[in-house]
Amino acid sequence: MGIKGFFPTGFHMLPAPSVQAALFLPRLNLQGLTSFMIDTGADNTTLSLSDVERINLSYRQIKRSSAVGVEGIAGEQLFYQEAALLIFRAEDAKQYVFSIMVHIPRRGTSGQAEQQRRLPSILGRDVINQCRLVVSFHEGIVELVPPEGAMLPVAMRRLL
Amino acid sequence: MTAVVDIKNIMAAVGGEEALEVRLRRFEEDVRYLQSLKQELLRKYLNQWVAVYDKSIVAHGKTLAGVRKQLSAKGILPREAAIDFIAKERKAMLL
Repeated sequence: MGIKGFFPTGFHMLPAPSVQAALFLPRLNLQGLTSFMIDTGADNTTLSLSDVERINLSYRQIKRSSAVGVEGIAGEQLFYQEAALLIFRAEDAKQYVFSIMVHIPRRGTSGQAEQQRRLPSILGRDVINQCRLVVSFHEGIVELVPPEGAMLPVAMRRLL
Repeated sequence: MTAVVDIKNIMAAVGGEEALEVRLRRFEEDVRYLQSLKQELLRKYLNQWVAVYDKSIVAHGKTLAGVRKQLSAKGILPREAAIDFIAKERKAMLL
């Protein structure tokens, strides 16, 4: 059974497939519940500034050496990387854990930050490519199917 | 064996499997509930941040920081609530 998502009708963005997950940052011992927009065009799962603030992640805690430039349609932006675990629940109450390096956006000036806060967190191909993704806007289907037969998917092997 | 220990520690850190199941399910419902209130929220809270917890609107305000303070004052962890910005104009995004 897969991880079910849905198409939010959106207040400030057009309908896009989304899925909810628990996020855990072991080094910082921070956690929170997050809604992710599923984006097959993104290499990496990335937190929105509003979710960074919701989980109370202070930029003073971030390792500056983890900074990487990420190319996008609007040019290169700087992101920080942090080891993270994403935990999803399926309809049958099974839980799936993915070990990733989550990307954290550099906060802009106060005016820029206000715009950044309205962007969604993004589920990228670091997670999507480990699953089968079924999306149909007209049928209202958003489903991530983790590797068959395993409660803990392939990603967990990285924890060994 | 190591993996079993790891996952147990991880699950303990996030409150245990059963508690996480309950929290995640509630959060999913809150995200959907917030979306279902679209017309009401546009009418009452345009250009504000709104927080939903346990299928109730529990905080709203002009800034996310203000909403987080309201949630904390009510004993609700901001990281557990569904929060969104209520805007009339939906901009196209290319992320």
